[in-house]
Amino acid sequence: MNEVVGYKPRAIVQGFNVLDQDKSDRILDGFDLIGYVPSPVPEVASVEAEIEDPADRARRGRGVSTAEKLAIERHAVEVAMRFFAKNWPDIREVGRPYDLDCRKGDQILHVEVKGTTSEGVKVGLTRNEVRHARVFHGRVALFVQAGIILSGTETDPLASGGTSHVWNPWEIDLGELDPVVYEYTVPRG
Amino acid sequence: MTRVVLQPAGDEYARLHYVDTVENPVPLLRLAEFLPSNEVDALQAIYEGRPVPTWGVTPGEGGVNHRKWERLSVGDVVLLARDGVLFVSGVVTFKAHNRRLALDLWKTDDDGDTWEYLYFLDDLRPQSIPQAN
Repeated sequence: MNEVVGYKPRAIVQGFNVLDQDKSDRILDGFDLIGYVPSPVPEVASVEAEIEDPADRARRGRGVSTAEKLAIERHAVEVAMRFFAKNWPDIREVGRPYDLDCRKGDQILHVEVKGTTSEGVKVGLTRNEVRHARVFHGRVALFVQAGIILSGTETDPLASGGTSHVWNPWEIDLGELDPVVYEYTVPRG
Repeated sequence: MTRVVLQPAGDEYARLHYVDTVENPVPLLRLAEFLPSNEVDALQAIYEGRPVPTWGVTPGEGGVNHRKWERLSVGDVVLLARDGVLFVSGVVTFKAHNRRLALDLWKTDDDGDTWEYLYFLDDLRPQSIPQAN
């Protein structure tokens, strides 16, 4: 770490220290410190990873295929990047636990992007996405690309169109969270 | 503005504190015995009943740690360090100054100081980052 921060090679942490922004940015860029915290229960982690928009499933009468899901997500992220690029000169895709990291000078905005073929009234969120939105409250935006049109085939889909909806800042608790899966600790004994 | 906080956690006290209140997070009910209701409400909203990984620093000589703690913000990333390794990272969710709570959690050090400038963590992640090159 010393090399990343610019400390002397053999320096060690001596006291509680809040690093300045430049050193902090170098560490944050250099190491994977904030991110996805998988459930310790493999089956729950799997469900969380596969969470999809419940309205998509209901409307289509089946779950979207993996290829369709990826096409929807890719389209939504591309539209979101174009949207935020108007005001944020430095944007990069992160993926987990949020999609876009937007920077302008010393300002930072994290963007959660959701794409759906539905009207976008409901979207799926993982536990980590919810936690991240709360922890970074005030610095997180939600971008929903709703009404995306899927064409092509189930295995070779094309996603296009849709309407953009943006909540910035995103006050996650103003919406309604409805759990679709629980992780349950069984009673002892 | 996310900043990184280096937190030494290698001395005898810190090793115990890490086990007592980070590795084994503190139930909100215990925190609620000492924190004002608005702070309990805030922690409840963040942790939703989960126990709370809790850390604190003493005022430090001449209040040096207190001044640094004042600069700590929600969203900052803390790196706990011991034996030359940054071994855990976590995100600051909330902070509180509460001497009575610190005394209950950790008692005092040899100088009679306690770790009363508290901060609470989430998204703990094991790390293995050597500090020296």
